[in-house]
Amino acid sequence: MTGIPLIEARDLIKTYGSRRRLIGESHPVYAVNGVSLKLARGETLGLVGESGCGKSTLGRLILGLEIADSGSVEFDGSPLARAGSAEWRRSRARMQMVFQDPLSALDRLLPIAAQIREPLIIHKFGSQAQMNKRVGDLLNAVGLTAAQGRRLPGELSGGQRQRAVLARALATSPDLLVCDEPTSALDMLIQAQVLDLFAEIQSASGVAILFISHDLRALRRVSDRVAVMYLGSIVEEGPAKQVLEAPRHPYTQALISSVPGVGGLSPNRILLRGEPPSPTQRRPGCAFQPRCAGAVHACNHTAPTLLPVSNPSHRVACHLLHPGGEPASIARPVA
Amino acid sequence: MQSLTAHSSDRRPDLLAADVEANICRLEHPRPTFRSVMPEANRKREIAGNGPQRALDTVPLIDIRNLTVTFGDTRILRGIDLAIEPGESVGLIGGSGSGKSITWLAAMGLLPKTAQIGGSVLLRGSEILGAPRTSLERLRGGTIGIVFQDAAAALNPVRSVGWQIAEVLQLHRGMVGQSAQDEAKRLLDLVGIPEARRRLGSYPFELSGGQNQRVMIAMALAAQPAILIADEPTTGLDVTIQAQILDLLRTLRRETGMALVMISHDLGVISDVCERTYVMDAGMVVEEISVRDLHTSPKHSYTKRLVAAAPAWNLGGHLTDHAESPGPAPVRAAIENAA
Repeated sequence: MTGIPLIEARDLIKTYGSRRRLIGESHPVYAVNGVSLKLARGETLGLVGESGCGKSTLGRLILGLEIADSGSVEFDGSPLARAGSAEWRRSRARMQMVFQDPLSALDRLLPIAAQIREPLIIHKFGSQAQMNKRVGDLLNAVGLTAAQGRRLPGELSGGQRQRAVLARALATSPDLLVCDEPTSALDMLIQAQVLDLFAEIQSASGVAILFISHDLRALRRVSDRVAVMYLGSIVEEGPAKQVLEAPRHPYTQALISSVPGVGGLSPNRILLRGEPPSPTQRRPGCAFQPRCAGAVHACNHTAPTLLPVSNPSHRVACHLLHPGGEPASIARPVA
Repeated sequence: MQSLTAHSSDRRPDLLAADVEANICRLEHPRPTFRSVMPEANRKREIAGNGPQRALDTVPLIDIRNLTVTFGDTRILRGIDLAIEPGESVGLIGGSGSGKSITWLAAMGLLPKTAQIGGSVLLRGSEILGAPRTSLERLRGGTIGIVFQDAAAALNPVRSVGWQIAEVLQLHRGMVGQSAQDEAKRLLDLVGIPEARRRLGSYPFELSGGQNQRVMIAMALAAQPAILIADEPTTGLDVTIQAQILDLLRTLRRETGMALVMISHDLGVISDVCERTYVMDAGMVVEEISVRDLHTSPKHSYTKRLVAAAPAWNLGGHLTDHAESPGPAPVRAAIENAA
């Protein structure tokens, strides 16, 4: 693994304007509010958060499908080319995406083998024979038969369609795959198969995956690292095992304790009252403060920053863990 | 990328075809008997049913017998047998297309005319399959309440939620005017919508997904149903909101004494609110099992596969004994700081 991360995003901010009314000001929606993240080659980063927290916007910023208001994204050490430019188009072969609804991502009138072939034609993969072989290999890799490749998307099941989308995304041997809720529309059994497929392809091809999902159980199955977003910011980030099994941020703790386990919901689960506040109504301090059981005075006026806890690769943005905003290591021990 | 491995055959998606074949084989064998795993209430019913004088309260609330649905040449339901006792909470698990939802659509006469329906659906002992439209309309949203997955799509977008709840109150309970408004407000309070009085004037698009689902539940409760069919009510919701809705359903069931049928493909959701569950696959009930046994001793191969596929149960397992864990430290520290 080289020292340069495949993706390095710094201080990304993306706002969407809300419509200005006749009277009053317009309130911009802070979809992504100062996010920095790194993704190493061959790594799977799970990005989790509730609807509207900005996780999909972050995925689109990293692909260059949206332009950030401020901040930068570097892909393989160089800044992302402007969307639509010839250079960006070339780099697109190296970054691909998979969305939630495979049926709307596929052309309903074209057999899936032809759709898997399209990126090969666009990026001038090689001769007809080479392309045929590549399409066959890709179908095989995602567990589809050649006969299924001749079918239209409507003739396949939901899980098979998502496999087809994945085969198409892998056609150009990308370095990065951004998957936005790729298994949310599938039932548990098919979901498990598709998640295993992701893990398998990841280890076989070394593609880095940004796996965006609100489903912590799915995330755990594929992720090396996990980042938790709340209202546009990352509140906790670290190795998947640590974040999911020993979460430190109060929001992550509440989120994880709300996932029904073998016996249903945990009797000790942490109740979160209400719903995430609207991203238009920004307040100073920690965004989670209104719903946090442990909020202290500092949470009202200063936004916490991501700082390492026990393990340097596990970072949490919470005043309770870092009183005074200093790293935990030099902070006064809490009585 | 060249090193992409070929897939092991057991993960091939043509498994689906294999499933269907397996089921056809299963059909030729005698159906397993569920009596052994049936809870006390059902066994009592068995006994009472055979006895000379059958007490009224031992008749199941809903008794579905050999329900079949066929579209053209395609058999969607291959003979469903299930029974729900008054006040009971029962799950219905299965993959997409297993017939979980179709069972209830068929029972309530909501399938298109092209569907051929066979078998029997008894509500408190009387047949409702093929009942006249007027009596079915009293049942739907009356005795039998339904909550669907996509609440925003199920609600009327151009009417306020208060209007929609009042409509149910008028149709099923004859309430109008101020009394209907007051009752609608009480229902919104009951399902935990803040500022209920003001929210009566809100439209579905002004509410969040979780709030719309609460409105759907309030509408279903408006008619004081004997049974609530919840069809994937939390599938599109975030986990923290899902937990709130599951809590709500559990509380409402305790307070109203209604029966609950939870349709879901999420075993965790079923485990949380149900006492027992039916497992469906390819239009058949393949197993009936108590939720307690679901994860430890599933009998049918499909149930076993479902249990095995459920990814990563019990996240943050330490949360069950968080006295010693480093997990909730911030909250604890804050409490200690404040003290």
